[in-house]
Amino acid sequence: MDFAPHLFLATLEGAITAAVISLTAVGLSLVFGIMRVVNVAHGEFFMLGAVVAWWVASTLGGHAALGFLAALIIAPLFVGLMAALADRLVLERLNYDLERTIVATIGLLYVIQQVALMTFGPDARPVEAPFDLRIAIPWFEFSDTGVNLIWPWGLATTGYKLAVIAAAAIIVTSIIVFLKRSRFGLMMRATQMDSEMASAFGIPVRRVYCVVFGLGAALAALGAVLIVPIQQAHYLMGGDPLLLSFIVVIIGGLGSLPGTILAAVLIGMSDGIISVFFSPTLAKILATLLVALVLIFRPHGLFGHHTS
Amino acid sequence: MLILAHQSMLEVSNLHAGYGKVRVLFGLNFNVKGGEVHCLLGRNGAGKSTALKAIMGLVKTTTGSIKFEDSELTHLPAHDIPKQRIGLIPQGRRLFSELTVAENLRVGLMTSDTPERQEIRVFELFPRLQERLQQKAGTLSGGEQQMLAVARALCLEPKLLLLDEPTEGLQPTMVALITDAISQLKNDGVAILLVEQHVDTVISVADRVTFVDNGRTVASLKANEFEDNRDIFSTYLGV
Repeated sequence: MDFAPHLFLATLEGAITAAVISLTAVGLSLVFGIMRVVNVAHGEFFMLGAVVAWWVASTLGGHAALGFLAALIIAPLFVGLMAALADRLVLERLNYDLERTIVATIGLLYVIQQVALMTFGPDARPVEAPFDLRIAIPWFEFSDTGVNLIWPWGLATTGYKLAVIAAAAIIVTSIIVFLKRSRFGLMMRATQMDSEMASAFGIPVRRVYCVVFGLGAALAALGAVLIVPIQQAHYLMGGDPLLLSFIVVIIGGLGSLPGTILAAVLIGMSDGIISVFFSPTLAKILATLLVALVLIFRPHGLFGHHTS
Repeated sequence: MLILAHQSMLEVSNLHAGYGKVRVLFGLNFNVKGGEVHCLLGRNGAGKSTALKAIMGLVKTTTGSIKFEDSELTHLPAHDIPKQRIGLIPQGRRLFSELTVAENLRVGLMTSDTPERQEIRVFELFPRLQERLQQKAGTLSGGEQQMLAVARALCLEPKLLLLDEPTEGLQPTMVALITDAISQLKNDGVAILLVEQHVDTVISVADRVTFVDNGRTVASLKANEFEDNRDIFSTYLGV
């Protein structure tokens, strides 16, 4: 295959990474932006979503699409409720203190990881994609007779991968519309700006925090359910999404949703492309270097605001 | 319950409060009657703003009582206090600066039973805000921001309005506008608890003044006693 179609294929892989990372990073960004909590356990909520998706799909049996659809609803709901419970039992009792919640979420990370290991075991678990559709991608070739349409060998993708990109775009757009247009979205934005004043105007800030923590975790779980037919579920799979989400949130600007989405596309695409042409490790090294540069030259990120 | 003018609406008794381990109030006592403008006066750091925050449940009360009508406010979570129809205009306005004027007002209207009526009332008082509905609050001028802060609190349809230095940093024309708004609210039957440093503003609008020093109530005067007790103003304000 020539370089250009190869690059196109790598870009497509990058778009899938960007799609999933945008979901997990938006969840992390909401939690940090509104609650000022650095959720170190965010990657484990992602892992839990994938493992629960496998459990639901394998328990239900039957057609792959049925199990997948059930997982798509049950896994984020379960993980969101678990996170809301963790908020009530742990974070609220720590009064959402920044330092203490970091330590608490590190503890939560290990608890979730070890419970997943003890319950589901150390093996990678596959989940079948809801539909099996292979799409050959045409390419263009210039010749003396003009532009010819060709079908290079290996230039193909699956319909499911394209569906993941579309689903992530729809979910992220829905979150933005929810924040902008709904009453609860207004409560969330007011709480993000000044939680004390939000309270003074009747907004139940602690309830908002509980919902936001649950929503953040549910978004990570949703990303995991979408990716699990491509990557498989494993109890150690939370590390990469956590690292990439932190990178994205820092580059985009802590608490800035548009910045997070833009950075997710940038980091996801570069991660996908560099992983295909070189190695996934190099992709992570470069992304981490980019974070270092952003922290030096623009500490509040691309779209973040200076906060007192 | 109908609160008659000159009947005690808010009763603050032996109030002790502070921030974490730092205690600020050491037994504050005062009351606000229905339909009156009651002013808390004192030097910076005396505990006036902390008293307002304690009433709103934003500062932890360690001992004492804050009774509004028949409800004990110290037992309520902060977000339930606006439902008692107590509004706050905080020091420095503290608008939701990235939200538009319309969204700031929507936050204020969240606990209102009659949002449409309150919206109309707010635009009657401050017609300029209606022209700025889609503008971000942080981009308004200082005077317009203060109008929005007052309007946002009025959206709660308050029976009691707490104002923390509402004329701070404003030009004289805006100070006059805010003073007029306070008088108009008083005429509408809203009780007002005002923290203010401008003695002239206080004298022009207040029915009663409570002097606060080191977190304690040290003196109290009615409007007809202001002229004969100018020395008390000097003692506790240093003017």
